[in-house]
Amino acid sequence: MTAELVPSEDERALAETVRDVLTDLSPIAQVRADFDSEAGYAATAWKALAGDVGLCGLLVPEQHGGLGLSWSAANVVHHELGRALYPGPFLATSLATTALLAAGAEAAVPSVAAGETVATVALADRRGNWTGEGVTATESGGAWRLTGRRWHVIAGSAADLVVVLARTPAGDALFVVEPGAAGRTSAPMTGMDLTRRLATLDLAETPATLLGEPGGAAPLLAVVGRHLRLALAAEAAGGLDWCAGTCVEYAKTRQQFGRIIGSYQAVAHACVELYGAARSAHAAARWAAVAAENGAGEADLASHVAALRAGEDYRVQTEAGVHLLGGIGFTWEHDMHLYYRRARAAGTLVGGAAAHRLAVADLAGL
Amino acid sequence: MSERPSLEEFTAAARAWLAERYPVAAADTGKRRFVWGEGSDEIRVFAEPDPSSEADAVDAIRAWRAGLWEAGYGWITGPTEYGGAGLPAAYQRAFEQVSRQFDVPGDASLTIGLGMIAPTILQHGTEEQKQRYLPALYRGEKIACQLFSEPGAGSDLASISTRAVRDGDVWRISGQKVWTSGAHLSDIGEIICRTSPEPRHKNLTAFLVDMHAPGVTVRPLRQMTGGAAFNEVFLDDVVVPDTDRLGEVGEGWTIAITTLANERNSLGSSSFGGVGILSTDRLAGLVRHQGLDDDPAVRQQFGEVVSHLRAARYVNEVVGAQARAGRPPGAEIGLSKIALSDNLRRLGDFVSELLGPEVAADTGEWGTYAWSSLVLGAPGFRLGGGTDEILKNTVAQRVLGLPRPS
Repeated sequence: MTAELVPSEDERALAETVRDVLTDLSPIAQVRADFDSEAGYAATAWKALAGDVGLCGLLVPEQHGGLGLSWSAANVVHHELGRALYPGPFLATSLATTALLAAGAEAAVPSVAAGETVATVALADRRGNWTGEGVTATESGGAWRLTGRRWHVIAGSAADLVVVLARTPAGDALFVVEPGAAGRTSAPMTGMDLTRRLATLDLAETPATLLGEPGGAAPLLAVVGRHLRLALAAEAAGGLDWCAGTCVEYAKTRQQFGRIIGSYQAVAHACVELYGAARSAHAAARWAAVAAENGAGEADLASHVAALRAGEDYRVQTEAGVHLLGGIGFTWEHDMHLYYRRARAAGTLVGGAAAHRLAVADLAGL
Repeated sequence: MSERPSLEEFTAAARAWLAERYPVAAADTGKRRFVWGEGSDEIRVFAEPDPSSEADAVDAIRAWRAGLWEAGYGWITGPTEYGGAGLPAAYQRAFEQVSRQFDVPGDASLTIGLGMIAPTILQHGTEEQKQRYLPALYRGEKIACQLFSEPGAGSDLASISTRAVRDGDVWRISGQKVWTSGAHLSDIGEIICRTSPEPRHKNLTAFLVDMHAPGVTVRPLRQMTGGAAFNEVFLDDVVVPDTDRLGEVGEGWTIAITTLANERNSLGSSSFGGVGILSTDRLAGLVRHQGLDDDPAVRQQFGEVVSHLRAARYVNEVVGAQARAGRPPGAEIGLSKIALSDNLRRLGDFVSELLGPEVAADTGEWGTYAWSSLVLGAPGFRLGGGTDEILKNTVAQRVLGLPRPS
């Protein structure tokens, strides 16, 4: 079945289920409690989403214990999670699953799909580049060991299983590092985005399993990269949806100079731009997800367009949102800054705007 | 009455009908592969016809419509009692798709009549008006224009001062309209006039005026591009029979809104009148021709512009899919028109940087100074069919529910 631009009945039902769970178990008060907690997310909501709803197996084929759903279903899920700033390790886990499936390493997948094993990917150097440099992979008697450091690892402190990018003599490759592997430590990074924890991962002669061939990282990274772009674009659309709703509501009730501020054209137009950004971010994320699902020729291009435009809109419009809310928007108590933080940090996870612009130029035939 | 053909049968018959009459378009998609230096390098934001060849082009369009009408493709979704084929919208889309594979004249000078005025007549016209005008419009026998804006009533359309005064069975209309696309080709005009001293929005009435009637004077209006896509229309005691009144006396504002909603839908979505502008291949060709394709800063600018063009297309496709699923767009479709205006400005800025002095003065090189008409035309696109500001006000009030400015 081909995916459609308008979400199917099943996709709408899935989105509603996710939204209901988040409303019940991860309202913003819980999210705020989470970021002061040790783990960074609460076990109850994670158990409901990963175990009961089965989100971790969303894109995993049924024979490997997943739901066997599509990129277009993932689109509506990421939208809802982004809208609620859900802090659990869903994105990390789904990226790792995508890497494992792309590499044909199905054995590790069922326990991740079941939500029993939290997984993540550790791909970046200190500057955020996805390069094997910094982690050395050495082989002895068919067994690989990794030594070095990865940075900016999403849910790095919570993860059991980690897919690591390292440098072999034959070039960059991905490896699986199991929970409790020798020489493996991680440390949380103090970060701008309070609702998505990053960590460093240190490896010292840590045993690891090679995924695919030595030097074979590129095609796997391409799939993971596209997944990340689609996910972050959908999250941005969800976040913008919250921002537009919140700011418009405020503009309808707040009075100054004896007038509702939404009756001032400057304020009304700022609200319209925020609403328009939510609308176009949603369309770009949706279009790109459907293109990925249907194997459209423009799928990669569309994923960069979606990540770039939704990401830039998220960044610009969360700042506009703080401004629309006035002084209250600049307080710790108001939730607006949590979205502003998310937007600023998320844009750096996918290579940044300049990388997308260059990729669009390449893929559009320049 | 015959059985409705299946979509496949209908499409096959349409393809056969087209193939018998029109050459196949250069590429199967109807979109020619861009080759630098080949063919016309024309670029236009607005249709600014060359007066010497315009009459021939209009004749070809009329003949195309007449042929469509005879074959039953003239008004595919129209009610059968007015000569339509009474088929669902999917048949119309299928016909448009298949006709893109052939080199057909298209509907250029009829888009206002077919896209804005005919739907208004269908919604608000009398039985007699529908019988008289709808087949004539779809058959290409009559061309229609829209007589709304005035020198003193642009964004504030409700403040028009052209008057219609009742005189027995007729009305006498005097005043001046402006920005009237296609008035010089038109047979009928949908005009909004002031008919009473009632309060705003209740004092207007719509009519269908015969553009060949005594007292109607049409003058081309030269705009900043140098071309003339629009006209001024002067009405001096023009007599219109009461049977050509569209809707009730005092109902003109509602009718104007219907027509403007039709306009917004056609402007925002696909039927952009511009020529040669939104081709990524052509833009890439220009970058290469200027020898800037290895410049990382230029590559980034190119990627930025292309990402905006694609994103706008994705929005329109999602809007189209939602409409087919039974959720047609509301006032927010105005945002698509704003996005297009923004993209024209981005494109104009980018090509200007690529071309430097070659966009300011014609060196005779193919495909370079041609872009100057985008640079000169883009500011106008932000005005027609509702300024950015008016469109945003409409979204603020109708979609977001924000209060009107007090």
